[in-house]
Amino acid sequence: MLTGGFVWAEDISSASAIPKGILSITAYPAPSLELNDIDGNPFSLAQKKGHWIFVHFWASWCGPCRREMPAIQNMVEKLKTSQLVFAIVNTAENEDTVFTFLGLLAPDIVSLMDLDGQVTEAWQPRGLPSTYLVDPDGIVRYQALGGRPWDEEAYLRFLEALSVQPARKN
Amino acid sequence: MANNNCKSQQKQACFTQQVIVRVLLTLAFGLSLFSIGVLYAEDERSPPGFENAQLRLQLFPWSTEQMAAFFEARGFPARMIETLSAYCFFTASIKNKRNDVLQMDLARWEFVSRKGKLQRIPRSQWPPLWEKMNIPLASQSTFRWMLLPETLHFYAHEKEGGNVVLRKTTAIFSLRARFGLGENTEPVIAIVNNLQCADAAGAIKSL
Repeated sequence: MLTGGFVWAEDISSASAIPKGILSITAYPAPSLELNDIDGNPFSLAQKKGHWIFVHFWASWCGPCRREMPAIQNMVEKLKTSQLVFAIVNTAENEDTVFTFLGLLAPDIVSLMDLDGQVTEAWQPRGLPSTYLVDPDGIVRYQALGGRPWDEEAYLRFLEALSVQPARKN
Repeated sequence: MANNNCKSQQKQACFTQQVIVRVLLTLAFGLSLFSIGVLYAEDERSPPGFENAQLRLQLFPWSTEQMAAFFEARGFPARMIETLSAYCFFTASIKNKRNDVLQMDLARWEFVSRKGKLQRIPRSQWPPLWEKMNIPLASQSTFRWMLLPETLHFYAHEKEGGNVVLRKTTAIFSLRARFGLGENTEPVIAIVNNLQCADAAGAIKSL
């Protein structure tokens, strides 16, 4: 266990530093996240174990979400060959609102739909937007503060390095 | 429904049609949302607020019309909007300028007029009311996310915002907000004077 922890820390620090606004937090099991996307396809966080998952909560009325979404689309495009899984969750809005918003700002993003907001409630984010990074064992390891420029080099390098890390043992 | 049709038709053509209509609606709505900011820009006034080396706090008042337009656009039921129109809304924007944690606790915020302390409506007061009114969960959720949390630790240089709700009043009042810095450390005190609910001030133009 100790060796695993050491390897983890060494790999992350050498591959890429934690970028600004990303917090390494006290680990806890990720709450359930089972939703349909805007096209009706089901998504289950539990079924994505074995991968790092980028979980992001947003709403169209939130100014920082509006500013951040194009960066998220760029990031998804740039990391599409990585092993990172994306779970981008709209909080409590309907399909028409999401369709229009993403059509204007990030047409390639396929959002999950938390239609009644209850999945978001279970995650208890600090506010919207909110992003978590969940490890391959389903443990929440990092949290991002507010909107981030995800398509900048520092963030891409960090996420790319993370995506190939095994789960931590502590 | 519209989206389901889109799935079975040529997605791009359908999307373009929808976007043209909705861009117009979005622009109209966006103009109403940002009218406060525009008004402040026009006369070069700053929104009411406080700033020192440790934090910046700004308060943007919402008129009843702005509040109603925003919530209507989010699909809130009319009965919910009617209820909310009895309250005074401010969007608070807070930036921690320190290199360490700044503790916000709304219980340590006092709104005071000449007649005494004003009642702030805490987050916990809304859910029982919405339950009684049978408000859809989605509207409850959106409303909740728009409120400033009751407590929040702002990390170094973090900026967050949200709504603070008071009982509507025509009085001019002040805010005295204490932000904690940890044990055995004097709090940072932010004082904002000459606050008014937007409708009472008459400073916010009608939509």
